[in-house]
Amino acid sequence: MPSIIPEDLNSPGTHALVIGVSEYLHFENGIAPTQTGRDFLMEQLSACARSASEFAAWLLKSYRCERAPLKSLRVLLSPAVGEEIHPDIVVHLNGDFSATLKNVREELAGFRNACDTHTDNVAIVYAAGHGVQLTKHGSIVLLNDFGANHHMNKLEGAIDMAGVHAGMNHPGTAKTQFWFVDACRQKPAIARRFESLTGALKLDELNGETLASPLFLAAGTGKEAFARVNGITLFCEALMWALNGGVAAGPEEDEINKWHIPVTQLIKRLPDRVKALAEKENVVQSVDIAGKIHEAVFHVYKDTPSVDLLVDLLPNAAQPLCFGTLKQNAKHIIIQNFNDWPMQHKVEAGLYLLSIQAGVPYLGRDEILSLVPPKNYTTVNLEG
Amino acid sequence: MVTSGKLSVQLKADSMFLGRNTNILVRDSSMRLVKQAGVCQTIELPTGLYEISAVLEDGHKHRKLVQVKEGDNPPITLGENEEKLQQDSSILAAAPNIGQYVQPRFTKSMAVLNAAGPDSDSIPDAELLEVTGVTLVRQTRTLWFFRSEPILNSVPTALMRIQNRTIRISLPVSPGNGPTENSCVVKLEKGRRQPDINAWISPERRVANALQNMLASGYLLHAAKVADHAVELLQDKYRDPTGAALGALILNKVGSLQRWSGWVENLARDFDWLPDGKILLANLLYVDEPNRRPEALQLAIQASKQRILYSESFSLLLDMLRRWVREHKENALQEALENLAMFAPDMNWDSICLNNFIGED
Repeated sequence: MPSIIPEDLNSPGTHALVIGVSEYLHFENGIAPTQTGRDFLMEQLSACARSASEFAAWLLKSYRCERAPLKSLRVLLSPAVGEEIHPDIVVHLNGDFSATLKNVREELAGFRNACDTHTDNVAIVYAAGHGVQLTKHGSIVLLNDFGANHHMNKLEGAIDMAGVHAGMNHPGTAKTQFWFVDACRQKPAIARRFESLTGALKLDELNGETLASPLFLAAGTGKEAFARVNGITLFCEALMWALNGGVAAGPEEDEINKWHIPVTQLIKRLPDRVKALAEKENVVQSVDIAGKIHEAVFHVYKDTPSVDLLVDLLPNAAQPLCFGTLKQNAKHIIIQNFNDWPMQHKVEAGLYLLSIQAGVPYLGRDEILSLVPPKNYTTVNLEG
Repeated sequence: MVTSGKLSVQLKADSMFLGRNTNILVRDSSMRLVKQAGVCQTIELPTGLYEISAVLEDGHKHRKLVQVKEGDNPPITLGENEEKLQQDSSILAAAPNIGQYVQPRFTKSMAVLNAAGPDSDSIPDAELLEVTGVTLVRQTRTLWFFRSEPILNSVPTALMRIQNRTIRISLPVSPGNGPTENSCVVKLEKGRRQPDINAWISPERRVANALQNMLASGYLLHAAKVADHAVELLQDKYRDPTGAALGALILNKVGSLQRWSGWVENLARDFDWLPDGKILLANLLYVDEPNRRPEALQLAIQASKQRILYSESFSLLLDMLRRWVREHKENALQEALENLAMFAPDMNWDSICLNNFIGED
């Protein structure tokens, strides 16, 4: 199945390949179990395909890169029974869009060819499914038909993400690349079995290096991170938080004159967010950063992001006596003499001065607020 | 009429080197980066609100929100409260029921606090079973301080039991002269699901410790900028090859190690007991000097037979061997790959120093 948007190779653009595998045909409880599939003792997943579709939908609807707009989007999904795919993607899926080896091979070739048309292209890859983390730099992601009897090698139904990443690391292709791999890591006894296997899909490596190609390798042990009640993987939840403003940075030099998502913020904040979510759910998941790390911009916001602001005042007894004024840059009044606490307002991201005028016995004060997307909850305590 | 004010920014940094190489960022009220300044500079800014920030040697981004008024403004010092974390309000604020996760680090104040820290009672006991290449200087419930033996033949290690698990961890010490010089600390971390250990370069080794803290905290490009100035300093002046190797690994991650290739050769040659130097050199030679590929393969094979210090080096070597085995049908390469690959599933990839699970009772 080709790109779900018309592919345009005439000028630099962003080309994306998104793969999500929840259903495994040949596992013990698959629709066509094989001995190889049974031997690996793995279970079906239920969130990878939907998660991949969430990311693809964000690319389709929200992604913005003025110098390289989205020009192709290849999506391969193998959803589990009952797994809901994002509606913005469902409408585009026709024919065979399953993440089998044959389809991945074809789409990977198309994706690579598209990326090779201009070095000013941007390449984005997202892959989620069962996997084996081999090192800090790569993992194998198993595809929908892993374990098929007609495969000549046991790993033939898998994609070697480090190998594919290395194959795209040369100066003749998109010089800016972003890779996201969300692999459900296996227990050591099972993972050890993969170490000596060959045959996973990879690309030939060429000489030289591209400019920037960070690879975010999320590897979680346990099915919990990949079969969650809300339907998306833990890593995808963290990534969507990041893309929807969680790691947005203010304008910088002339070239980056708007709010944007820099690679440095993804590198710093995405692993922290994943860990925080994992701790809350009592699972283990970490994010390794591999690939060629270099300053790059993943996404540019069209407008200054907005922030849902909530300011509460303590103690409750002080609330009727206090009036709040919010000024952008300590100069431009946004809210004046507010008294109906808590203060709730949608504002543009930035720095604000919150001035509290308080009645006796409370003392008012000024607070500088740094409001970054998506939300900010602040409590001002006038006691003490 | 736009009025302006003057502001001076100082850093509370233990290391003059780090202080000199710290970049202070100034953002205005729309969070636009308006200035990048060095330490002790006086900055003139239009009146208004600003964020002043810098990543310091504790691996954290310290920041202050200030209102610049007309004329001279009170000076600002970043880093005054080292143990107070600069919490990222958006992580908490976006989902108040998600606790903030702070990547483990090890700073001077932590070394003092953890002697009897607030969490130490809730962490299960760990037992030091054996060490190689180091002497235990002192210990608390959660910290073990080691210094290197005068001569090293291999990367030192500690074997520890935590609850029913036995773990071996490589120790980032360098041979030195005094009791704290080039020493390291193993810290028992609470962990959500189970406690674990991390090995840290001692805070007395300020530059190398800062590199490790920055790397642990995710400030990779900041660490690379410091490393670019620090690698020769670490190896030659401070005689700290394990710190220098960490700097080299950081530079390798950002693709900036090539210009230091001569220095990497010295690291590999002069410190045979530290295979991380060989691994980095092998990687450089294979890519940049095709006529020296046989030498690169030999370096990789030699390194595979030694205890490695950093997880990143182990990962790099394993990746190289996997690729090279396909290209060069050499039995020694295949054997090296098999030896290393069997350990990979037992690695704790979160740990900067090589940390592998040995067994469970």
